[in-house]
Amino acid sequence: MTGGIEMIKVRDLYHSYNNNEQYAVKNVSFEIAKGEIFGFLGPSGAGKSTTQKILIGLLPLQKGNVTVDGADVRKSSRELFDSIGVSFERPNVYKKLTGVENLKFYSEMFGVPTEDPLKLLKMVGLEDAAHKKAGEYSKGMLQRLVFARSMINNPKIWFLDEPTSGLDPNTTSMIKSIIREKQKQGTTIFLTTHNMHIAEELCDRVAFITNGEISAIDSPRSLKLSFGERLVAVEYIEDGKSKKETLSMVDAGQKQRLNDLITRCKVETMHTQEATLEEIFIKITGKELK
Amino acid sequence: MRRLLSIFRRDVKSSVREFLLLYIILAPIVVTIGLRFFIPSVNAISLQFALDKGMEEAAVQEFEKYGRTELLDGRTALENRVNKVDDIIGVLQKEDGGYVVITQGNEKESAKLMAYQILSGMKSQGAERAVTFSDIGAKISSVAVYGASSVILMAILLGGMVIGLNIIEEKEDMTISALSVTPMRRLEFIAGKSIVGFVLPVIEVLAVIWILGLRDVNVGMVLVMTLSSSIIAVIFGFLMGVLSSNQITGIANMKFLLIFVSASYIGAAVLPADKHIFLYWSPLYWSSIGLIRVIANTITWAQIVQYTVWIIALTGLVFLLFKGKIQKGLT
Ligand SMILES: Nc1ncnc2c1ncn2[C@@H]1O[C@H](COP(=O)(O)OP(=O)(O)OP(=O)(O)O)[C@@H](O)[C@H]1O
Ligand SMILES: [Mg+2]
Repeated sequence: MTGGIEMIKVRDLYHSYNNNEQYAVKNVSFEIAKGEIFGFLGPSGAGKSTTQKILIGLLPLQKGNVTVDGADVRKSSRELFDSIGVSFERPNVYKKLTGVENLKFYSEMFGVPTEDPLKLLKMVGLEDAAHKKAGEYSKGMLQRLVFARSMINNPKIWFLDEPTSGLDPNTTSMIKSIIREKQKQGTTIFLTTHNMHIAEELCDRVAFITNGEISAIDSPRSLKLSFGERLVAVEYIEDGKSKKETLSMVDAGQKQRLNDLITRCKVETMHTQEATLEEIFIKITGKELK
Repeated sequence: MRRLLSIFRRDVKSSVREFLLLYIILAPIVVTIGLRFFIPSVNAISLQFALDKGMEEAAVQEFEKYGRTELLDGRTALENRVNKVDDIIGVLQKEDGGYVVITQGNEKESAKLMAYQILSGMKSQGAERAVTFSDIGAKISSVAVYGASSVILMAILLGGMVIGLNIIEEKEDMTISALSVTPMRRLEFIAGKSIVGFVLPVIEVLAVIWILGLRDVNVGMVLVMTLSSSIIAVIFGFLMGVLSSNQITGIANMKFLLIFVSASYIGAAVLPADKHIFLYWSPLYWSSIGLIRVIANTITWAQIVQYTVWIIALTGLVFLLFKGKIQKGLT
């Protein structure tokens, strides 16, 4: 935690869709400082969207405490949403309205000055499609439209659910630079993703979440420093087939495995490498990120 | 308020861009234009006279100068002819030589006046003959009454369907969740979505009255009945919206509602008065009977108020029954 003003504070959050002991989110606690980009990382079904939905009031808060911009979400007023922006994972726009019309209509729901729709569409590279019906947009265009829409009210707190999934590299870097720009202006950002590269590049801190529980919260850099150094990538031949494996030099079991490979198989290449965030994730949570 | 209007504008914009919705919006107008051909009288340009065969030849010739004439045999035949949907004025010569002008009550004033003037013109030429008027009562043709009232009911219900289909669209595209993270309140959403269910029928009802040339109808009364009936349609629209996951099931659910509508309307139109009590439970019965009587010009403001109270009370009951479902369905 970097100190500074807390914009989001979550304490002992639990959520069960069936109101029983089967929690989709359990014992989740974290806080996000003003101007911070906080990454929420986890495989599908980990509880990322569930957590985000509770924070933005789409799901009721069952157990625990959540404050957003200093207001308890249980008692917060609708006006809180004047300072919140949400980019949804699934592009939920009006297919029969054009891009501009979608943004224009949405802007009319807010009680604060809003951005010019065309300017936002330009920022995400949709100026040519601005007057086309959203129903004729491709998947990636829809996603950019939802992303643009989430900026319409110049939010102080910005929730982004998978903002770059399925986008081409150019568009992805366009989105990334917008996110960085917003951060410079002081926006607090809650970013949900499976994409470790995005998280690594953008996030000040990340939380690893699996099965509804957080197993680590730290900056990508400290995570790498504490877990990343001693990894060995081995390429070897077993039963006539070439195989690849990455093993930790810290974990006793994995060290043993490396020994086995060297004695048992024909090792082709072997070199140490800096672990990616993905590998650290697997190491900490024991789970793949897909 | 600003948000309500935005929601309303969006619904209209979106509706006219889809064939199905556009069709629903235009259907009552198209049907009315069709209906117009069966009620040709209303704005007929030429004068028509139904004359008794026993009338003096000179008088018949005089009438032929001013319009189309038909010769019929006896007072009953004349009355039957006058009673038909078009504008025709009957003239009968009594045994004493005096004339009787037979009207239905909905003819153009000018036509009546013309008949009178033709007759008085003849009078000054010849012997002094008395002219009396006989109004046989029925104010408006039954084609107009049942045609107009059923088209209006249809326009009202289709207004509800527009709401339902728009809600289904919001559900399918999950745009409701996008609106849930704006300062918009749920009540504003409901109110904004309802507007189209009132505005559309009002516009269409005015168009129906204009197209059919129903000049004797009390527009204030029609509008009150239309607005109160729209409450039913709006509630059904919301129910259809929250209960249906897509357009197809939405239309299927609407068909189910159609059974109630037809039963209520046909009951109100054809059942003898003492059997109407079996339909009192249906708010759509009160709409039907109200609209029929308003168009036929046989209703008082007191009755309008009474019917409206029935409609609101019964619809309120339906709403209370499904309130939870509607609220839950909109999140
Ligand atoms: N509406 C629901 N009803 C019941 N269970 C649900 C519902 N939505 C999610 N869940 C369950 O809650 C758990 C967490 O789901 P959630 O959508 O939060 O995952 P996620 O981390 O966002 O996954 P993804 O990366 O696929 O979006 C999953 O086990 C899921 O099956
Ligand atoms: Mg998710």
